[in-house]
Amino acid sequence: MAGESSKPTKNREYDVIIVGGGITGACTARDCALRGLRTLLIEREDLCDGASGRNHGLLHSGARYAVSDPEGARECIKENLILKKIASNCVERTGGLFISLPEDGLEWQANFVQKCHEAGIPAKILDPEKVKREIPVVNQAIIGAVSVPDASVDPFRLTDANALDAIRHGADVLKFAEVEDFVKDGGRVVGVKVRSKDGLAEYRGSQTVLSAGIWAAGLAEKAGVHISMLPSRGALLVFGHRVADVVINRCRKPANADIIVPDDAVSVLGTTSDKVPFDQCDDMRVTPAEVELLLKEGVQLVPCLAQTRILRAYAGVRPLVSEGGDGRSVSRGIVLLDHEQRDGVPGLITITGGKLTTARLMAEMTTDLLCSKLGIKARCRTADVALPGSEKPVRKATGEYYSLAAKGRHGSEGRKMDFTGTGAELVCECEQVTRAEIVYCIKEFGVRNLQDLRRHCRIGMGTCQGNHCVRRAAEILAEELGCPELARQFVDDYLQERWKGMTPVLWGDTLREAEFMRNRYGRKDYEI
Amino acid sequence: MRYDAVVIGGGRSGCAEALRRASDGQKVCLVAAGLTLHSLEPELKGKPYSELHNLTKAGIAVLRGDIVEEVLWGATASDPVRAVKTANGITLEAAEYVLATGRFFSRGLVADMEGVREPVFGADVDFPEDRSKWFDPDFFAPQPFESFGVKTDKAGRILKGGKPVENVFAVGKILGGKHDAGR
Repeated sequence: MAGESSKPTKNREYDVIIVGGGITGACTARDCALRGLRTLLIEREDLCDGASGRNHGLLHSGARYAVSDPEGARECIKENLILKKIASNCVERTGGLFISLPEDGLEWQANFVQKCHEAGIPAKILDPEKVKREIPVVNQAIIGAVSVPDASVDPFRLTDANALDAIRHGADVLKFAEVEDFVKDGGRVVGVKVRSKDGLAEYRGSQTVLSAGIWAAGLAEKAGVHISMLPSRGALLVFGHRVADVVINRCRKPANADIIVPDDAVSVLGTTSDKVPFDQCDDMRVTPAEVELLLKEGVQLVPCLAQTRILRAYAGVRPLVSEGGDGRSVSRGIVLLDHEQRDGVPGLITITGGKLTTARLMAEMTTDLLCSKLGIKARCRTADVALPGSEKPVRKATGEYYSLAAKGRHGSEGRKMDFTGTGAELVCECEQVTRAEIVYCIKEFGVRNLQDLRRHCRIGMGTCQGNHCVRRAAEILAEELGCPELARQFVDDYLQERWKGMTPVLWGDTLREAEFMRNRYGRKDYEI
Repeated sequence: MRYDAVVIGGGRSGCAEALRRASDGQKVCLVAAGLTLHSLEPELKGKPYSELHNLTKAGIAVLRGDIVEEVLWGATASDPVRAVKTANGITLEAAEYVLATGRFFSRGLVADMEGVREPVFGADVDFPEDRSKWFDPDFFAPQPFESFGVKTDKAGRILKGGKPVENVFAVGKILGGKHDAGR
């Protein structure tokens, strides 16, 4: 992805410069490229480093918003169906449940189902006895259950697929480069000044889009524009296995820790919702209080979570546009700001708010606005054209057993991996990652280190948290990048990053794993 | 079956303690959870302890793949231990018992959200209540949880409810900071 072909050419004039390589930026880059706009996407870290990669991985059916935000609910169900079609290899059709506990009563359920139907969400009341029998881990005190078409989506894969498609349609992607300031001509924004390891560079574009999540507020200030944003922090817990195979929600007014989602081999419980100051948006350490709150509420959904191994804790910051309140009552709707209209700053647009589920729609709205400003008439095709990897839906991967996990993750892109010879070597046991998949990811996505690599192939994200595979992966990465001396640094950095997520849940088997990890790598002169 | 000493734990410290006692002429039984007694210590690189070959030669009875599941206490809680019973249902009586079950990985200590306990005898454990003090944010720094261990008196007897248990001693990593400081 950051391969030579996608790097920005010097002095190239762009129609659009998109700042922020999360899901919204990647979707916007794809939409722009499909409509023939000369597009540059800039991201300060790796793609999906911010909130896009720090959430449940839930493809909403919209049911959660049916009561409080009918418009958001309608957007969700529409996008839910589109993504199941165009991103089939990023989505697992798990289905979802909304369970009612005795204290929730069934009144909420009746209204909830009614509101779901009004929004076009196929919600079906189930017999709680049948649900209890079929899903023994669910709280056996339930008095009601409703099924909805919630699903699990891999945000890393979805972002990658959008960025890959953008590149394949002529877009440039510049990663690990931070926008420091805007280039202005009179009052108009005509480009950006970008800092990367290569120094300071300038890129020019007719229009600049901020899709930088919560970080858009700070960037906009530099263009003299004020966006009143409310950073809302959400913490989540990753459990060591799939506790249930469906998404389980609580059938009540949305609150803390009331969703658990099966994601690949694990389950993710979340989230909290806390207003945080802007200067804490880059500090993603989870506190013991957050962990306790998550567990206290999570066991109401699935009681055995109290005994289930927790792999790690992480947090993200929702980019809510502030109208006061506690962060959950504020509208989570899509906010598209035309700064020419709003602030008299032509050439600048901000897209924020919204959800992972509605990112494609956000991109469509943004690109519609861009096209009208650029005087281009081109229809949006992102809802109809399948993403790379999902062109030919792979219902069931076939081939040698060691290639199946990679094909499951990358869909039809799996054909580009070479499983012959050393390619078939298993590197990460927990997530079944082979050398072939790693080499493909390094080449295709231009990774710098193991933290980047794991986003693209899940290496080190399983039960051992990299304890067994990190050294082998570091060797391959260092070899592929042509700098074998970096292998030790890769391991050190990866372990520090994993440690950040393990320490908030350092008891039980996670503490045992930690002691094992320290025995193996605790001394700086560990054997590589 | 009565021994002079039952050593619980087949790690390096347990093996060394069993050998030391056997060379003093004691009849010793060693209960080892593992089947092969492999090491996790980096310097041993996963090789079996060399002492292992000497255990049987020294006349030590070794129960492999077994753990102590139940403790038969004397008439009152402060009385010495009368016997221990293993998961395989074997009752072992001894004059003295040695706890050498290691730290967290080997389950010598067990931690949950509430705290840390020693599962065999319920010995008192030294650890801070505040869980944020269990670790250092730098992975490569010495980790506080690596110095957690059971409380003992000057003779090395474990404390239970603040009082020493007359015939139960602790050795090795389960001593926590006291063990590392002595190395």
